[in-house]
Amino acid sequence: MTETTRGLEELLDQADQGNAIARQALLERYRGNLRRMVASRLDRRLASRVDPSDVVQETLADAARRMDEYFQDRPIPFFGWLRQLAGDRVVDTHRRHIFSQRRSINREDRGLELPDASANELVRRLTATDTSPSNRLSRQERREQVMAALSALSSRDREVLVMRYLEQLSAAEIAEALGITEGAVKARLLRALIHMRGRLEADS
Amino acid sequence: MRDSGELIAQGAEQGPSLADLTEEITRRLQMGETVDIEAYVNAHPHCAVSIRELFPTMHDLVELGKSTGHNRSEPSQPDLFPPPARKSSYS
Repeated sequence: MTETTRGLEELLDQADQGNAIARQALLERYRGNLRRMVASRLDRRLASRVDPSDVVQETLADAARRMDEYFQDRPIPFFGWLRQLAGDRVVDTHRRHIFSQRRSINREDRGLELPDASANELVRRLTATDTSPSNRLSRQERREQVMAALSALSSRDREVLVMRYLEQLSAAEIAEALGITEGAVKARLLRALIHMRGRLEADS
Repeated sequence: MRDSGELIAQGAEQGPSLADLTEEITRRLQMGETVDIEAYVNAHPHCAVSIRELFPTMHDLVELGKSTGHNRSEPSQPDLFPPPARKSSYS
């Protein structure tokens, strides 16, 4: 057991015993990671109306309220539980801000796709600092290919790649969230990378 | 160029070493280091082909991650990936 893991276990034990300071520290430990998770999953159309930090704050408040319930049986790793709560908040946020305005987003249909608008916005960001038109076009095309390949992967492959490359979680952090070993995470990442390479190869 | 099935088979044979190497390369790319892929190939000849074939994909993904503005040390921009398909079953 690493020092980090040992520290986390101690914090979890204290939080389980109802220690308010430990509970607060436990929640704060994941604020940054949750923010990156939420930011990478919020629809672009909400950019001007929703701050990912607010979604995270709601998530942490929700988690604080439900912590007794969680510690009754700790059904999944704590980080994984927080990620589920954050994912639920993202769904609720989309429902509140987009569905209620009858915009053409169907969560069930598009849940595992990359929305075109988001992909286009990403490409715009990527190319914004390029000064050469040819470079800009080349980078744009490549980004489109990468986005398409990523969105075409299985959810299992895509999720681990998003966690590692977009959320920039370490293998150890992914292991903590998924409740598997770091070695298993690396193996899963390798397999996903191979699938991703195959997809890019097929598309080019 | 081999297909994914061959790479997966070889990756399984190479076991943790290839997984560790790809993780190390990813980490260095994310830190902004220039990775000398030939040095890796020379140091790990049993993984040479896989490293060469997977490096462009790692590079693409790292660039995608950097470009989204979700760097660990910086405030991020919203958007880019859709919400989960449905709410979790845990309640």
